[in-house]
Amino acid sequence: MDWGKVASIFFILMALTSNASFVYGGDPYNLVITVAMSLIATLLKLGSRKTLGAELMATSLVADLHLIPAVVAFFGFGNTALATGLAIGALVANFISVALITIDTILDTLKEEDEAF
Amino acid sequence: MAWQHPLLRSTSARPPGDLFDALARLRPPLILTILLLLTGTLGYMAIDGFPFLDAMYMTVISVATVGFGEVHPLSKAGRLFTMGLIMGGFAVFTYAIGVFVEVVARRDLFALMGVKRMETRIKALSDHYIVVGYTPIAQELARVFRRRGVTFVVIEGEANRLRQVKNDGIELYIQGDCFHNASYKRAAVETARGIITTFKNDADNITVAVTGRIFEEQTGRDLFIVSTCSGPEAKARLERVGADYVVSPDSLIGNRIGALALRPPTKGHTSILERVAYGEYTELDLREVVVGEGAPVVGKSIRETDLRRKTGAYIVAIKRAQKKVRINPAPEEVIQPGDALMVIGTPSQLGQLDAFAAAEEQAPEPAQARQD
Repeated sequence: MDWGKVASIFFILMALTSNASFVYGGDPYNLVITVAMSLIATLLKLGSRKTLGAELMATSLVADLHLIPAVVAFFGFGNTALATGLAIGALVANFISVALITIDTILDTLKEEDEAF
Repeated sequence: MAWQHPLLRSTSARPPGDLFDALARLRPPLILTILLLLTGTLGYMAIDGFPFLDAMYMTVISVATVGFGEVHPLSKAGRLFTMGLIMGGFAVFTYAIGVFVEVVARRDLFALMGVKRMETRIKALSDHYIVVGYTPIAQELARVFRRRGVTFVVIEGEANRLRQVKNDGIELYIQGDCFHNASYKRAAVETARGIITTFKNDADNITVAVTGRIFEEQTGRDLFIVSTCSGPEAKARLERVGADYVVSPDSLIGNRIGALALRPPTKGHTSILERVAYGEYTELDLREVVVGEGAPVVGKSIRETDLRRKTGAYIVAIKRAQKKVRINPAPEEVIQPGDALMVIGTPSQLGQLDAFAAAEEQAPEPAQARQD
């Protein structure tokens, strides 16, 4: 089993699910966890050589750039509506990340099959 | 194969030690730092009910061990948590500093970033030559190419030769296995003009020639493959596997020394003709062009073509199929399709020839030309 891939997918999914929890429940803990998970998911793409590495990095950065202002809006200014709106934006980026990593996994599998021949 | 941390493992064929590896080394300490900040912030929020900003501030000053006072009074549980956080923070920060120093200093992060920039430049190249292996012959070739402004990329993986590449100030090179497809892709083989291999070992040259032919099939782009060889037998093999032109260094050197012995140069004088022939004199050049069917000069005499007035270049010889080379042809000589014209002129004058000959440019064949 490729533990690097496990870690990468784990943090991407954690970012998505905790973000969904925050959007649904508005709990501040969820927002803090979402930011941390999203930042870690971005870091895991640092130096990545995946087929869709650049696309994954870009979507992760989009999510981060939504979530960090969301934290500032939520805890700094108490603007829950703005924070939730930004978190929804990040959620879309999280979904795209999951879609991309699925495509990437399929491409990797096909490449491995090609190389096996 | 040695075990590698999953976060550092790569699926690509790129050689270890590049920018990607250096960046990957930074991931674990950065991730641990984020996890530490997350734990601290959530801990203070949950244990002592700190607001988010205060909890994060408390975490940072605890982890950084700066010794600022507590933002809010801490409960017993809060104090125990702070002690754990400080110890964890110390361990993580020590580890992080170690990794940062190792990546920046030992792996020379800035040099790796320079290599990455160079590879980006290589990706944008077209019509360049790929010189496989920085052998002594390749070194001389690199000098000629640089003098003549020919763009080329060197592929070299052997440490000593790579050091020589850097010492010689070669601008574009790929640090990689000379026989690995990934190295050729990194050298932008799909847009290259040709591949040159000058290894002493014929088997190595054959491998490079075959690799070039495989890329030719994959990309559909013609590559001009030039190789050196150890003797006639190896030459035949290399031509058979697809090398377009095979040069025997021994034969070349023998011919040149023979020519010198027959016509010894005046002491202290370097022949201009020789310098032109070997590309050492950049103001003047020789070029051989084959006249194509329907070219503007076909059926015209040399005088009628008015080539000299229009371009400034001068036809010094014509080689017609299965006939002797006509040196200094008469102005009345009529040019026919398939004629190989040897033209002398400045590089810019010679650059205009295609418009007249409308033929495929033949790569220079210095050895053969001299032998003829």
